[in-house]
Amino acid sequence: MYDDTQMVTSYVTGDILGDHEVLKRLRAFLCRMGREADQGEVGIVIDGTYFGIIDYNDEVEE
Amino acid sequence: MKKEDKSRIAEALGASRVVEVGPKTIGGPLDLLALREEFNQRLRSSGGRPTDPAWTVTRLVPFKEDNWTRLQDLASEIGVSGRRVGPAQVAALLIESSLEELEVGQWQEALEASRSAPLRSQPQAAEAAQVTYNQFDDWVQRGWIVPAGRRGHERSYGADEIVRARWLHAISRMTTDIAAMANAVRNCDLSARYLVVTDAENISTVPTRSHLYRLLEAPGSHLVIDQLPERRKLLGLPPFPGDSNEEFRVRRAV
Repeated sequence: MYDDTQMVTSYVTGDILGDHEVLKRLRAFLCRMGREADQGEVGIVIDGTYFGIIDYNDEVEE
Repeated sequence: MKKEDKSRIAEALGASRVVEVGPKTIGGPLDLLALREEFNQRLRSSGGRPTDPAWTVTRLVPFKEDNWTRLQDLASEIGVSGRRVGPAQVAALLIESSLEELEVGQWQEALEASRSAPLRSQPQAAEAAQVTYNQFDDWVQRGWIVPAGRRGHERSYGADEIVRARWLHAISRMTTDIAAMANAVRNCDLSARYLVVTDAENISTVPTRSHLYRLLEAPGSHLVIDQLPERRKLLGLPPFPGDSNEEFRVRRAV
């Protein structure tokens, strides 16, 4: 079964992605989305590069 | 994005795969703001419709009807709170932007590949920089060139130091006081593609061709060194992508 693809576009400065805490929270959010929406994979495209996540572990969004 | 940044983000996100999806396309609201700002900076009026003074070549180019309509829409959108521009001017800027993105991609690829290449011994590095061993060694002793690794008495060098040696060699031809310039070369950001020496005394680096053109508009004499052909040569490639330089083919075959 295939869902319609939903894309969310967001603009941030490059510096923000150098902050490990921000990336940690971003991962927690993506994992929660993957888990709760029952997705096999969630991904994020940053500056033309796709990062796909399939292992959601037990990440909790703070 | 730099390779190490990608690895760091992939690790922090716990990504199971990382895939290049190609250069970004213009489509978002911030891209429009960027276009508007670009026009504000570049267009000059000399009586008629404001234009970029660098646009000196005029050509008749056919468009698809729907593409022309999109260009008109973009021009209207840009003109709402910026300068009034025409659809052909929008087309000219988009073409420049696409060409620059293409070049930036080629440059990043060459930069990353050359930085990942195996280190070279000092004789190999001197040869790659096209300077004598003694000259290279002198610059090493002075701290102008820094080895990436040492094993006993043997030193090894990465692509960045070979590029620096090439720059020092070029600069030494235009000045007798290279010592005054060497520290500036040492502090240069080598991830920026172009090195510019102005009036044989000021050194700067710029990342893209459009930045370079703006810098060259300033009065003075400028020496420009493009790293792309140097990096590609270090990788055993023709100086520019798509360059079917027969000499390189023969050398590689031999």
